[in-house]
Amino acid sequence: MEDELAESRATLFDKVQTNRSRVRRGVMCLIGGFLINLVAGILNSWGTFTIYITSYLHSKDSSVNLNTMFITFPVSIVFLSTGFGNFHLVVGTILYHKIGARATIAISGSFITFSYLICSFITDAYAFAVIYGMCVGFGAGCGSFTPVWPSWLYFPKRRGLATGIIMFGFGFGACIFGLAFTFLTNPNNEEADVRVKSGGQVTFLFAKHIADNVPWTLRYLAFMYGALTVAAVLLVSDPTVSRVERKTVMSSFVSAFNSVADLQKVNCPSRTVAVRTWAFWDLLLALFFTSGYGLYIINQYKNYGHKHIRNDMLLSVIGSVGYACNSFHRLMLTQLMDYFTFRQVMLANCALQIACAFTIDLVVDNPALYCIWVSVSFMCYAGGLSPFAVECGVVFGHV
Amino acid sequence: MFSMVIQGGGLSALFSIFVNEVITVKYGYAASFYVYGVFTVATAVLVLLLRERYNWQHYLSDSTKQLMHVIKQEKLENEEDTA
Repeated sequence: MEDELAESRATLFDKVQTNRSRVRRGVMCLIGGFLINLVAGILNSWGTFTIYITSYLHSKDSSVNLNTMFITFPVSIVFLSTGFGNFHLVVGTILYHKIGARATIAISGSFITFSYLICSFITDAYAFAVIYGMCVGFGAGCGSFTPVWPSWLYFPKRRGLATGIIMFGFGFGACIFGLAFTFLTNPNNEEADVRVKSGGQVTFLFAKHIADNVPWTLRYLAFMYGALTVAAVLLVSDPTVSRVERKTVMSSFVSAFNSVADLQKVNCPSRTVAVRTWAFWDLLLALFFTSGYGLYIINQYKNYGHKHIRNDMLLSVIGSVGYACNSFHRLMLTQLMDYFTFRQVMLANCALQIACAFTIDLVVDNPALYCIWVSVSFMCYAGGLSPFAVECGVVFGHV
Repeated sequence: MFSMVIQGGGLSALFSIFVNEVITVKYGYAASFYVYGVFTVATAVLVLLLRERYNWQHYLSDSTKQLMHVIKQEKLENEEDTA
């Protein structure tokens, strides 16, 4: 009798220990996921970096101006769409299934880290734009969602919270690294006073002694990204689960959205059929039109601000506040979609965006108002993306 | 489907290069913001035009419809047997 009691106690103790170890590893996975998203989030910081990098490349080749470097961010977004836009179908899933979360995160972080290292030695504007755009876009796309899957296996009942913590890092990364770049490159907060004519417009760049800090700033940041990537790789681990359980969790990402749709109705049978419907083109065109403003202002807020506000650090802070608002809004929107329809959320978002787009030129001279307008614009950018994922589930029956 | 719809964002990023080269360079930042303001109005119109309820039954192939019918029949027979 006593032997049986001791045995059951030992089994219970083992179970508690296993559970504790699972929770500990889950928390480590969340921290690791947050860290890799800090690195991936620098994609959105381009608007803060661009003036310094252009100043540096202009000091090497006087024909380079802010318009030359404009292409970098669009290239990043195109590659982000390849890595992240198809995350549950192509790149993310294939890598995660084949090599696991750790290796996928290592590849993602390495793309970003090495692109910064390589770019610190490049003096050709187009080579810089292509290498930076491709590597950062692809790296951010592959790495940002990967830690979410193991976190769902660790915390099957807290998936929303786990996703929120990990994805919050994406916005926070843009927020802190934008400021870090400014502190490292322009520590004395000097004004951008080199007038450069591009087309019919006069823009401002930094003097050579500030621009010369850019290569080392890129190397310092590469070191930081490398360190964060190593930490993320060490912290994130795949729980020991069967292949079937893993597949079930990954497909539940899709069914999470499907719950919004009426599951009783017949879903869209194939992509070929979907492409032939007005709904598909309506959504694609709506996303095309709505995301343009956000993409443009994230890229140009600082260049535009420098023409009116002669305080570099203040503009970087404005950008960071905007990135933080963008990040919080992403979290908030997922909650809002439970209470409001796509039409209500999108029309509210459009109304805010229209108001900002038509009036931003009136407030740009006032730093406080400009900060509010930039923050709301960044929020609208976030607001114009997430609802489309949910709406795809509603219209087509699957994401 | 979202992975296909999101390509609209990628296209928009590419289109912003055109907006920058043509509108910002010639007419300034404010003009580009106005263009995007008009784009957002177009978004609102598209959102209002979106029909959320589709009867996908019409889009199924004949073989799929037959298969669904067979499955339904089998389910009914199973239920009857259980009863």
